[in-house]
Amino acid sequence: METCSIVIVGVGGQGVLFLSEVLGQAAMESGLDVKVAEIHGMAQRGGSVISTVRLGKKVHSPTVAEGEANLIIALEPIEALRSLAYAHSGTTILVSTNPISPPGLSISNEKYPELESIVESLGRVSKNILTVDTLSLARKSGSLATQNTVMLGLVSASGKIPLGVSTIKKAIADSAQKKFQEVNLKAFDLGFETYKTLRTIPST
Amino acid sequence: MCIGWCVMVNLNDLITAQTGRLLLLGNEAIVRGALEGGVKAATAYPGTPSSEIIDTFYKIARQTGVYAEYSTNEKVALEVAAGAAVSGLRSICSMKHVGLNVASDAFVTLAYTGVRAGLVIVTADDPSCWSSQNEQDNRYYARLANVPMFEPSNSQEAKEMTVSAFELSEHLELPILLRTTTRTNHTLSPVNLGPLKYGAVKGKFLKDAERFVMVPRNALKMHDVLLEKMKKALEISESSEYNSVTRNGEVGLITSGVAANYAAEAVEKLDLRASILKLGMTYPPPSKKILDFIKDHKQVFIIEELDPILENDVRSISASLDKRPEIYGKLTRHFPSSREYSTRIVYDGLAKVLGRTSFSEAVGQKPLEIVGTPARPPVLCPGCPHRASFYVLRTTLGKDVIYSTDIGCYALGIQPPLQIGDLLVCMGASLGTASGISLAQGEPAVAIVGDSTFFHASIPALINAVYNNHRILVLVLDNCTTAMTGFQPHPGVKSVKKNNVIIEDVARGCGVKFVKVVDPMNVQEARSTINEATRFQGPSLVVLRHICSIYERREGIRHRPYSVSEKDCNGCLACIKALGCPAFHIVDGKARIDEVLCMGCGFCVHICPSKSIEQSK
Repeated sequence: METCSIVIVGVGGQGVLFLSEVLGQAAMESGLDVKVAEIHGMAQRGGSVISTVRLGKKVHSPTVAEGEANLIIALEPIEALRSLAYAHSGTTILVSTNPISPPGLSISNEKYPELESIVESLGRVSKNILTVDTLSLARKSGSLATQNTVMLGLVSASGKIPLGVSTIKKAIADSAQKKFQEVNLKAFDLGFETYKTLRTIPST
Repeated sequence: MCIGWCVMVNLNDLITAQTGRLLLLGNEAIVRGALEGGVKAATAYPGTPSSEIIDTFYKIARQTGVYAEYSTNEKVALEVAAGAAVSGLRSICSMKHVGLNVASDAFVTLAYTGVRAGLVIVTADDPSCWSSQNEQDNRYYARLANVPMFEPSNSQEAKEMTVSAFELSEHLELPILLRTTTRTNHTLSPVNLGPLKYGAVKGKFLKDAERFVMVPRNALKMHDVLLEKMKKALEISESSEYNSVTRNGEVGLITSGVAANYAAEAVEKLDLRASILKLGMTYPPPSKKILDFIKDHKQVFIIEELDPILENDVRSISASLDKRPEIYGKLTRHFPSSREYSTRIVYDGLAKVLGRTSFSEAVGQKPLEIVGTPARPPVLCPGCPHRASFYVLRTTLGKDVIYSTDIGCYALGIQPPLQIGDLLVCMGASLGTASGISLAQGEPAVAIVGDSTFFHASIPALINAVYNNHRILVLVLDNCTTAMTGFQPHPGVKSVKKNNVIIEDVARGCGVKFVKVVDPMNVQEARSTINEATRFQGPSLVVLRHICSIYERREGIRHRPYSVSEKDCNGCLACIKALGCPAFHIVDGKARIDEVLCMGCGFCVHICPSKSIEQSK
C-alpha cells in the first residue's frame, strides 16, 4: 500500500497533538508502520501548530513533503491556507469554518480574510474541499474542546485513511482522560454522522 | 526554549512492559533504552527538543529507583553525571545542542579521564531553529573531544543506540555522544521493547590520580590513552551493524541520522536503483567501509543535514582512490547547508544530477502564491506577569533605553505592542552584554533575565558587574518556574525535601547594594522601585516576582475572568493597544474579553480610562 500522508493544522490549545496521537495509536494497533511528527511553535502561546502523520507498510520520512499530502485536517481556516504548500490537486482538505483571530491582528492594519475567499483560495489548489462547523458539533457533544475529535469522526467516515472505525474509537478511549472519554466518543459520532451531509466545494 | 511536548505514553507501560511494542517519542525511546541499559542516574537542564528525556525520568524516578535531577545548568548536569559514572553508576545526561556549549569545558577533558560505568551524553540539535537561537551542528563535538557518536534516525534506533552506547561506553571507558535532531526527539513511532534492567548499585570511586587528576603531565598521558581508545572505536565502527550497506545499483548514497529517512524515501519515489550506506555510529566514521562503498559507485551522493561533515570525510577518504567517483553534496551546491531536510530537498538534489523532473512536477503541484494570510506568532499568554513587567518598563524607562534580554518566555516581549528587547544571544548573556553596552554608551543599560536563567548562567556576570562597577539595572522576571520548557523546577522553587535558594539573597551575597522585590502587577510600586533602581550609582537588581498564570492554574488556583462593560466602553481600545493580551478582541469597535481565554489577572483594569473592565461575579 502507498504511504498515507496527513497534515493536521490548528492553533495552540485546539488539540492538534491529541488528534495526531490517536491516529498514530490506531495505525500501530492496525499493524501498520507510522510516524507522527509535530512542530508546536510554542503551542501554549497561541501560535500555529502543525503535525504530520504518515502511515503505511513502511514509513521513512516523519514529515510530509510539499505537495504530497493525501489529507489535510485544518481546525482553523487561515491555518488551512498556511498548509496549502502540502496540497496537490487531489488532496482532501477538511476545514473547520470557525476562525480564531491572531491576537496581533487587533493592533495591526491586517484583517482576518473572509471565509469565502479562504475557501476560494483552497479551491484553486484542490477540488476536494470540505467545510464544516466543528464548533457547533463540539458544542452539541457537550464540550467546546472536542473539535479535534469531531474531525476524527469526519475523517473516519470519509474513508480517506486506512483505519477502521472501531480502532480509532478505541484509540480515543485509550488516549483521552477518563472523565472526557464519553464526551469525546460522542463528538466522534457527531462528526461521523455529519460527514454524509457535507458537500464538496467547489461543487461539481 | 519552548513548551515541552506533553508526554502521552502510559508511563507504567514504559517502565514495566518487558515485551511488545509502544508508540514512543524519540525522547521516550531514549529513556526506555536507558532503562534497558541499566541506567542509575539521569541529569539535565531542560531545553527543547531534549526536555522530555529528563521530564520522563523525573516522573518515573520513584518507581524505578533511577536518580533524576534538574541541574542548574548543563555543565553542572554533566559534571554530576560524570561523577556518578566514574564512581560506577551508569548515567545519562541530556541537553539541547547549545547546552553542550555550556558543558563543553567539562565534556572535552572528560574524554581524557574517561569513565568507569557507562556515560551517555544526549545532544539534541535543532535544524531549522524550531525553538533555538541557532542551528549549530554538534557532530563537531564528537570530533573536538574525540569521543564516539551515535545518530539514530527514528525511535527504535534511539532506544537501541542508547543501550549500545552504554555498553560501548563501558567497554572503551569513554563517554558516548548520542546526537539527535528535533525530528528524532519529537516524532512518535513504534518501538519494540527489550528486557528491562533494574537493580540497586552502590557506587564506589576507586582512586587513580594519574588517570583522573588532569594536571598537564597526567593530561598528556591520558590524551595518548584516548587516541588508543579511539583506534579501538574505529574498529568497532567498521564492523558496527548500525553502519549498514544495501547494494542495488551504480548510484551510491551515504547518509546518517534523520536524513537517512528522506534519502530512503526519495530513492523509492524516484524508483531509483541505488545503493545506500546508512551510518548510525557516525564517529569515528568507518573509513574502510566508506572506501569500499565509494569505489564501486560512479556517482556518490552525501545526504546529511546542516554542515558538510560527512561529505568532507568522504572526500578525504576518496583521495586514496585512482578512480574517484563524482561526489555530490553541499560543496557542489546540490544540497543546502541550513534548515532541516525533507524528502523533496533530497529528491530534487538527486533529480538535478540524474536529469529527472523536480518533485513539484512529479507530484503535480502548481506554484501558488497565497497572500493576505495573517501571521500567528507566539505571544505572551493571557495573564502573563511579563506583560505587566514590560508595560511598567515602557511607561517608566521608555523605549530609548537599551534592553539586553535573555532566553525564556520574556524573549516574546519583542512582539508588538510592548516591544522590549534589543539584544538576545544565549543563556545568561543579558548581564554581561548590558555591562558592555553601558560602558560603551556611558549610561546605564538594562538586563532582563528569568528566574531559571538567573541560576543557570547569570551569577558570574552579576559578580563581575559588582566588582567592575558596571552601571546595569538587572531585572529578574521571576515567574516561579521554568515556564518556557514546560514548568520544570529550578533552585528558586520551593519543594519538599529541597532547600530553595532565594534570588535576592544571592544578589546581596554577590555584593549588589540595591536589591528589591516587587510584584509587577502592582503598577505604582513597580514603577517607583524601577525609577529608584535607575538612580542608584552602581549595579542594581530588582526581582519582579509574580507566578506564571499557566503554572498557577496547573497548581489548581483559578481566578474569575474579567469582562468589559459594553455600556461603559468608549471604544478607545487603550487596553488592546497597550497590552496586546490575546484574551482581548474587538467587536463592533469596542473591546471584548474572551472569558475562556482570560486568566483573571486583572492587569487591564489599570489601563482602561473609562473604568469599564471589571471581574465577573
